[in-house]
Amino acid sequence: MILDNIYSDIVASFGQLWSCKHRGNTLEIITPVSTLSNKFVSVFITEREEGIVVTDGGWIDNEFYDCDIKSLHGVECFEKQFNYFIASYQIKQIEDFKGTQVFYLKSKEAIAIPALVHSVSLFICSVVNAALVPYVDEKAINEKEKATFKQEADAFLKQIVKRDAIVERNVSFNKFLLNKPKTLKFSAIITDRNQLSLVSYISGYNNDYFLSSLAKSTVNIELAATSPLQKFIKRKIGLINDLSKGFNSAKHFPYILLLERQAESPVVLWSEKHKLIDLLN
Amino acid sequence: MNKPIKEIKDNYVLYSDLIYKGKFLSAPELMVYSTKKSRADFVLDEFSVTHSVIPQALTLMVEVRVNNAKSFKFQLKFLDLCHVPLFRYDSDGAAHHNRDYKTGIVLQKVNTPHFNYFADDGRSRAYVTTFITDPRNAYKYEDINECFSHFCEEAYIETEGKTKIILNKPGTFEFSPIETADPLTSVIYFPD
Repeated sequence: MILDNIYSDIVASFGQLWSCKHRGNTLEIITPVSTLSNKFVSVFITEREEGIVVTDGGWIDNEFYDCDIKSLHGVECFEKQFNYFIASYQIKQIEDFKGTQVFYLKSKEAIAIPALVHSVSLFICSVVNAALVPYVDEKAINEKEKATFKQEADAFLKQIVKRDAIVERNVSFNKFLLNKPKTLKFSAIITDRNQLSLVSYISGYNNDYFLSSLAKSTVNIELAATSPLQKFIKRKIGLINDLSKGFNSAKHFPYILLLERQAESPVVLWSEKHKLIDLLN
Repeated sequence: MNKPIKEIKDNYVLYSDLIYKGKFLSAPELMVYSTKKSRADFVLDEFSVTHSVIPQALTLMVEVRVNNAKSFKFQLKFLDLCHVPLFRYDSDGAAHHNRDYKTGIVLQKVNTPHFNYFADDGRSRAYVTTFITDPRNAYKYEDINECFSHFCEEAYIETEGKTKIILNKPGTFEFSPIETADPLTSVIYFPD
């Protein structure tokens, strides 16, 4: 009967997926279980005075399954699952002297080894798969980071720009340079009688967000230079949040150079924000 | 199924040019000694590889486990396309699963050492070469320099003579890894 063949084929195929490697006093068993990062799970068996130990060999922590569980520290959805797997499979963990986290089960009974291998391999697969789920909403984080930077930068500019009603010196935030139609929005516009200084904030949680912020600032600064208000513009400054996660000075260097050329002024890094005091007064 | 890398899938002609067209590595010696940021027991360094057609250079990364010089990785990256290594050689680590629903599962398992590349669907696939599978070469694929020459052949990287990987910091004593592939020697006791 064909179904009998299917069954024997499944059993034979799964059987052939097992393999092993000798590693000193430890035996690596490559199991038929594979993760969603397309890695077959290996468990490591060793015999000690305290019993037979089946471990992950530190491979989860060493990122051998192409996932980084350390980066998920504090991510509640992951941590709940992780703790649930630890408790359900009754997994123990220890940090070795190199600082690597090793997950294991142990038994004094040789007959229990297959059960330990079964649980440890399923535990590894569960943790790795749970870690691969994209929990973090990068767009939301980017918006939050942008808002925080805006708040800090606005507060700093308010503090350093010497406002004076008599000499018509003021700073306004998130303002359009042109009113009809409303175009060319700048993070801050400093007016000093009939002279203007334009500041554009640049930040981004990752490379893509950072580059798009940088590109938007460059375009606005370039267009400001050809706008009807051009002759009133005293200075155009790109203020870069160099503490933002997406910032990479080496990678962004040519883009920053272009921005500086358009602005005819060097960019200011947030870590060197004191430079703005001279530039804007 | 692992998630396909969109940047590679959408720019597969560029990806193929990056990997399968000639490249050049000019350094005759690659000094690898910088401690990895996230892991103190790995050293890694990066080198520039020029491309015969594409003006921007690729990055070659060599990573070696400090206590096991038989455990190493070579990776080719091109950050203008994506952060993921485009082509890599893993001497050790987990067997890869070339998951598909058309072939037998036994053939889908690719043990280490193996190479990884991306297919035109943007998914990572592993393969082995006869250099790796030939039992007469067993001693060679544990030797970082032999494997590096083979990696250069597979990645279409030309070198000036045989490039040598040096695993010690200039002016220090020679890097002497404890030759053990046993990952559990660093745990003295497994408590209850």
